[in-house]
Amino acid sequence: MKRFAGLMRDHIFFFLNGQKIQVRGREALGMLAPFLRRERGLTGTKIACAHGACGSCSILLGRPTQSGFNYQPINSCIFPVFACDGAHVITVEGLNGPDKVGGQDDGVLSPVQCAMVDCHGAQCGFCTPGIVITLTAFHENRVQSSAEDVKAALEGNLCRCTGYSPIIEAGMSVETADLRPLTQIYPPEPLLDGLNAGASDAVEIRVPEDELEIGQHLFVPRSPEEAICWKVAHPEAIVVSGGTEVGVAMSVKGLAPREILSLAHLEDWDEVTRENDELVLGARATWTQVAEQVGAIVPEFATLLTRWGSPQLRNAGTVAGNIIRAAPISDSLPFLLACEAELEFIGELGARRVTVADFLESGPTMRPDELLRRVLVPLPKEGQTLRLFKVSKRRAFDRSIVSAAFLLTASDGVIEDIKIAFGGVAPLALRLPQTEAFLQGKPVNSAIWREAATVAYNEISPYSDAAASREHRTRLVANLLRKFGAEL
Amino acid sequence: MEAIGKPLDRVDGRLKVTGAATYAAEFELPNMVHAALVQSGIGAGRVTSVDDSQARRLKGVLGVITFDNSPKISTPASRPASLTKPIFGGPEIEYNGQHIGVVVADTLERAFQGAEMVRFQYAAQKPRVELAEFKSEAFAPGNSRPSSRGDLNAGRASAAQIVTASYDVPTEHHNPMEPHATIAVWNGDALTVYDSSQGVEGCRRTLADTFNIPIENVRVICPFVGGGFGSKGTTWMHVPIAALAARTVGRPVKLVLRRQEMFSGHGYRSHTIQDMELGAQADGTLTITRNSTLNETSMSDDWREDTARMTGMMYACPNLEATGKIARLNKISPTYMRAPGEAAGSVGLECAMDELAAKLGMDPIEFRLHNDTQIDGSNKKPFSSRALKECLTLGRDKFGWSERKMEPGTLRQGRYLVGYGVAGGTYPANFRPSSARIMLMQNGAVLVQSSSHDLGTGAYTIFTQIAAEELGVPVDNVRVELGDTKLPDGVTAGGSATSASTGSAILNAAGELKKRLVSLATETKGSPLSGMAITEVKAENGRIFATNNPTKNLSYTDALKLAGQTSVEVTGSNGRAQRANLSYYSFGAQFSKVRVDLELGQIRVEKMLGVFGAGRILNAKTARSQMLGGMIWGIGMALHEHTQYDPNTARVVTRNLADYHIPCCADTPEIEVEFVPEEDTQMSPIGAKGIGELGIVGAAASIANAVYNATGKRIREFPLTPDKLV
Repeated sequence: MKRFAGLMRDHIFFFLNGQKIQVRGREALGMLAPFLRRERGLTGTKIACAHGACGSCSILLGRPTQSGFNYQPINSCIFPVFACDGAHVITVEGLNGPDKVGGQDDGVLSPVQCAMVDCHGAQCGFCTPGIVITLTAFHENRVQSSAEDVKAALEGNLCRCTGYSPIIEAGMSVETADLRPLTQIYPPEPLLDGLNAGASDAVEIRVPEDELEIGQHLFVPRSPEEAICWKVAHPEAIVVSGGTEVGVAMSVKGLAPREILSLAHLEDWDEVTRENDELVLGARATWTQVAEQVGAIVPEFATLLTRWGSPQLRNAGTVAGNIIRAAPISDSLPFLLACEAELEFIGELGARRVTVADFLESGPTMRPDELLRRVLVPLPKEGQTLRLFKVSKRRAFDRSIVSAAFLLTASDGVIEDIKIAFGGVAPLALRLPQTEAFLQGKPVNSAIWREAATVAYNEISPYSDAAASREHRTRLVANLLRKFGAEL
Repeated sequence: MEAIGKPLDRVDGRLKVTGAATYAAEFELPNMVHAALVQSGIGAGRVTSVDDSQARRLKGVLGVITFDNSPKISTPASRPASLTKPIFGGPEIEYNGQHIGVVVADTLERAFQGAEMVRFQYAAQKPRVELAEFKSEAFAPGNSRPSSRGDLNAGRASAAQIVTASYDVPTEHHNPMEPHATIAVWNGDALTVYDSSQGVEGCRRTLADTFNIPIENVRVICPFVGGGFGSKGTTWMHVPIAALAARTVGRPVKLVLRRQEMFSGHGYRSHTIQDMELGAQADGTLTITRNSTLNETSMSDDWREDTARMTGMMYACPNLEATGKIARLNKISPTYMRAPGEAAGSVGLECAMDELAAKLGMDPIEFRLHNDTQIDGSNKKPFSSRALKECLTLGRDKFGWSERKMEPGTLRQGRYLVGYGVAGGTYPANFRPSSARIMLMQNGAVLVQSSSHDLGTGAYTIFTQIAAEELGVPVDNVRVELGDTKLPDGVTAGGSATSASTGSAILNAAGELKKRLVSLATETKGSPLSGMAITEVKAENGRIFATNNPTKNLSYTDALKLAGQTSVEVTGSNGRAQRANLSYYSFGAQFSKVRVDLELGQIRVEKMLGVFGAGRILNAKTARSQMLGGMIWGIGMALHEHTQYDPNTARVVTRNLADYHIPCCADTPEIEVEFVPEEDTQMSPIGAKGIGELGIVGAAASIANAVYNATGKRIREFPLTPDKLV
């Protein structure tokens, strides 16, 4: 294997409630929630679903920024320990400072904790620590909040007892004047200093194969070159970006990959910018980063993003994971298809661009040496109408049954061009070329959408699963076309 | 010192918001090891061979127990109580996911890995999965309590309008946030178990019976439960399996069910199909009510979902028949789930009432008021209290019911359709034997102990209030200990019985404690009350005084000091049973407003109001929260919750929280709870009825009725998922 220029560590390190810890060996390859509970005795972090589907295990992941740390709640049950390298993790036990950990009985409560007690936001108490974590992050750097904001922030935390109202009331009644920002409770400088030594090292952890246990091998490169080189040498490696997909497989299905390539330290791959007429999404941008930036660029996409997964999942999940996984119900792909976005891969021979449609057509596959670097989305132009839809059973925190994207160019009441893409109606997201061709040149009126719905009805052949039947998916496609037309 | 009824903050709030409350899986014992269950991969048939050799060779594995090598021990099943079952399934398999073995290892990962390595060969049969397919085989079990009165044909003949309809509520799972967990440790013949349980006493009896040891040798500890909703009311097989595993390896064993294992490791709300027939005269007087319910059960138990009870007692109707049959499927036994009987029963009755009101052209509230009654028609006894009328009328005023249009599908809000719905609700007010101990220390501290539970309901808090008020001491002086079999026998936390039952026991014990203090004060030399007759002395508000001259008094603590006693304690029970000449139920009315997007089939509950007559409210905060929680469960029942099985394997397809949808924060409507004033001391000395279950009853029906009002579409198959509307 090619030697890398940088130094290599055989362990990871991070701060946990203000205390620096090192983790090596198999422990680093497991999930954070069981690590916190079993190895660190921090049982305030609860494991209820082990699936990233309830938020009971929420912890604050503080990623270093230029000015300190940016703390966001993530689901620790599906977050690998190794992905904490270089971060500051705060659990419910550490919310009031490093010296308070373990001394809850008569210690000080934070304003969020006080509000949760006052408003009866805890009943059985099992989801409570996760909710306290989420509300703490929500109130960090925030002066005022509406009930809708609080509800949106709590979408990733399930509670089976309270009916949520007391929790929402708690979120609304936090004494913000008394709040101490986390950066005050944990001044960033000493933490950043502590993370400094070895910060630029790549991480390589090998757990040797034992007669009775499989060997495991993790590599966390610091540069794209290292990443590509290692990927070529380890073609079977599982590539982990945000980990929300692999984490579920490891947590619930017991997946123990022999080789893992983590992209966690390709930190500068997370740009979300507008370049000329294109939206550029770095592969490592989390969906929260995307949501924060695209509001001013493609508001329709920003709105749709609020209905994806949960805040915790969006704080961890990245652009790369969602696209490369190419799930049939991927919420990003219909949008990217309709806008005719391109993917930029980098590999040994440099960068290569391919349209999302061609990428899907190809399998989806990429070359063994390649990694997704960024996505380039041509922005809707003046006079074009972009609409995005997501239909799910539960109002929030749910997978799509069907998702849809429409990009219409019309003038003088005539459809010049339309691009229609759907998710959830085939093994991969797809465009509806026949329906598009039918609509081209037609006048915009309600009858035309009904006719187009019939064309679409015959163009698709959806599948049935536990979420929805084939018939239902088919009907939704037709209804979404009509709805798009009716709401123009 | 008034404490009862005040919205006291949860006394366990601090422990919960700091993560310091200790749940079953969080007790640390020296040398503890981990267990992983081995479950059947087929829904019906036989295991033909077991190969555990590979698992036994795995590093760290300490024990592999399967049905094949296990000592043959059985445990009492949930129902009927006389039935016992081997703790492992196999070689015969009754359902997919049946526990057929357990692997113990030094780490949890190795235990899981070992469990994967136990190989089975099966001779699979086609499992019985779909309830409707087995309707013809259905039978009325021995424990049936059908309700029957009058003459159905006469009732049918005198009806001006009749509704005949079938309502389907699917299998649902409790999904408490805390997974079931057990830690078992043996010391010789003595067994200590930390278990996530709604009833440590029942768990203790089950374990003593299973291992054939004296009940005194078993101690079950469970100070906090992360939600139960009925799923932890019965001791399911993983508990004795953990104990067996601990005995086998000679070390403490921890066994935690994974979320997916909770879909086959314990019971669920049975799928019910209710065939309803409801008829009334033109003026709205009910003349016939018939409910014939079919529900699923396992291959060996005869669980019955008692939908007939509500049908039998809710409204005045001279001609009535409510019956139930069950059919056997390849599933684990159903069990209690929040408002067993009434949660599903209210869907049949209250939706049919809505349909009949529509046919009669009557307002559905008027229709219910017209058929209100103070007599339980199923047994001809008066209700101890019944505030359905007050609930309906108060709710009508508060909810903006006048906005509702009689004609469905006619109210629009932009591109949405809007509708209003109502439903009645009820749940038996249960009062069961329970006891508690109160100890007063010389420093004024009060300790209350009972083996009852706080599932998150607020029992720790209201018991604090009851003791504080009755003794007349500050709530801060009172500490409550629950969930441990070394404490006095308390009632299982189920059937909404804890407040009324254990609360009354605490009330009685506190009263008795005051009598002891009076005796002490009159018998102790040097006491200002020394030598007085006990009839002339009272204890109140922390002091003991002469009734005719209250200036002659001393404090409780001084009485103890003078008597040279460090403490005084009393163990009390909740006393007399309810009188048999009354019928005991709580009542409520649920109101919903929905907004429907007919193109996408999406229903949004915009507003809900629940009005309840549930006896004396012991804590306004905990009671409100209980009801809110129940009403949100109604949203789950109406819109999302559905355990789906693979018809070929009988395996649960929706066995995680991403596919089994419980309501999330975004589902929370504008929601409020009202209580009508009621204090029912015929029901319980403390005057409380019960609130845990009532909140869900009628909630789902009110939403379905609102969807009909919004759209004109009557959906009778729950949940009302988008595919049923578009």
